[in-house]
Amino acid sequence: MTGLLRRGLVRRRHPRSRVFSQYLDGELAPTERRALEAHLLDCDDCRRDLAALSQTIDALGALPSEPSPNLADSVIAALRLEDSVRGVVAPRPPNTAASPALRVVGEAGQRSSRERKHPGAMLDVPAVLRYCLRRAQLRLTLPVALLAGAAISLINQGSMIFNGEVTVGMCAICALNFVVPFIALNLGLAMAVGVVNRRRT
Amino acid sequence: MSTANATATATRARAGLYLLGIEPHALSIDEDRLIARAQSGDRAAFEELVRIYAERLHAVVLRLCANGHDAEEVTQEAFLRAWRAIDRFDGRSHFFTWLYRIGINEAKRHSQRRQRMRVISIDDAPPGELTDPSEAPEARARQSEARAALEAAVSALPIDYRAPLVLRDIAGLSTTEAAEILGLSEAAFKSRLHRARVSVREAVKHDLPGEAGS
Repeated sequence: MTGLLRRGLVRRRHPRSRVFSQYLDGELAPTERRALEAHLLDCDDCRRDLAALSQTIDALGALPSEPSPNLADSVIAALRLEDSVRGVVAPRPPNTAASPALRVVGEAGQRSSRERKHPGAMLDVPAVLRYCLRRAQLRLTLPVALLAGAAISLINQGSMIFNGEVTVGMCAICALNFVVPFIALNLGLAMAVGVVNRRRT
Repeated sequence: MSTANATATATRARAGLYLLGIEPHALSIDEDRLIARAQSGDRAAFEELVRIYAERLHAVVLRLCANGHDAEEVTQEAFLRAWRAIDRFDGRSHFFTWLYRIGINEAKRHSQRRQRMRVISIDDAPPGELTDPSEAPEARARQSEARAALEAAVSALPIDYRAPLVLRDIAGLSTTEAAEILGLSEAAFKSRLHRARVSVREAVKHDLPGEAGS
């Protein structure tokens, strides 16, 4: 690298631009750094190039991140759903030695039990809706609800459908066959990850 | 800008880059315990790892995906894959290195699928702007434009060049860590990183304050 830099400085006068990156990242050897700094003292063009690169890197570092507030909850719900589909039984969370995050999950579960005794009393509808209507969540819940709805419709209304006895009432019942599992699944998942009642915690 | 200032600014920027202010190695002892429990099938332990890393992984993946929805899907899929393969994590690298590698590979797969489908959505706009309301309107507008140009320049990079830039300059990982995540030699990583930086610099040279007319 020293040889490369020296050749660059001697033959082309200006160092290769890659050296600027290494300089800004603190990855130049002391001799190379000193050689570059000596060159920069006399070269406006290189000083300007280095400043532009530095400014670009600073601006990249200052780009804001977009937080996704319920992402961890959503991932955890997907993990639980996948495990439940596979028939894996999750181990019970530790009691006294639980970390804060585990305690949150545990407390959410306990709150869910309380809510089952008093349905609707502590339901945070906007939070549940936001959680349930997330695209990632819908990718999980819609196929399950569609399967369940199709199965229930075939079992209960199958004979009427195949006999051509299609009425408005039957169509409404079939629609409910899809909607009810969808709502139940979403509510169950929302309570499992503690989205329900979050505002009161 | 003097060379000393340039170096100091870049160093400050990178020092403050670790997302959410979490030093990756600070949690290593607890993390080792969680990983061991997760490898023995304790999903609750893995869920805690999800809570530690979900936002950080999402912040990286967001820059590699077309929009926030895709980034959430990719992040979720990455964690699902990590959970399925947790027993194959051998501990030779850091957990976050392993996890980021899964996330970036998933983002690449997602990006390739998306290119094949050529889906154009209104969601494909760059992530929204966060501005400080205390700034003057003109300054805010200029900053907003510069940021949008920067976002667009990063998004326009091929993913093989975008990933080094995101890991090093946006997520603030070291060269060694980022090269390991991408499975590249340090020399190859530095080469791609520099080309990506130069490409972005060229794209935004008229948009960043102090660059116009230089």
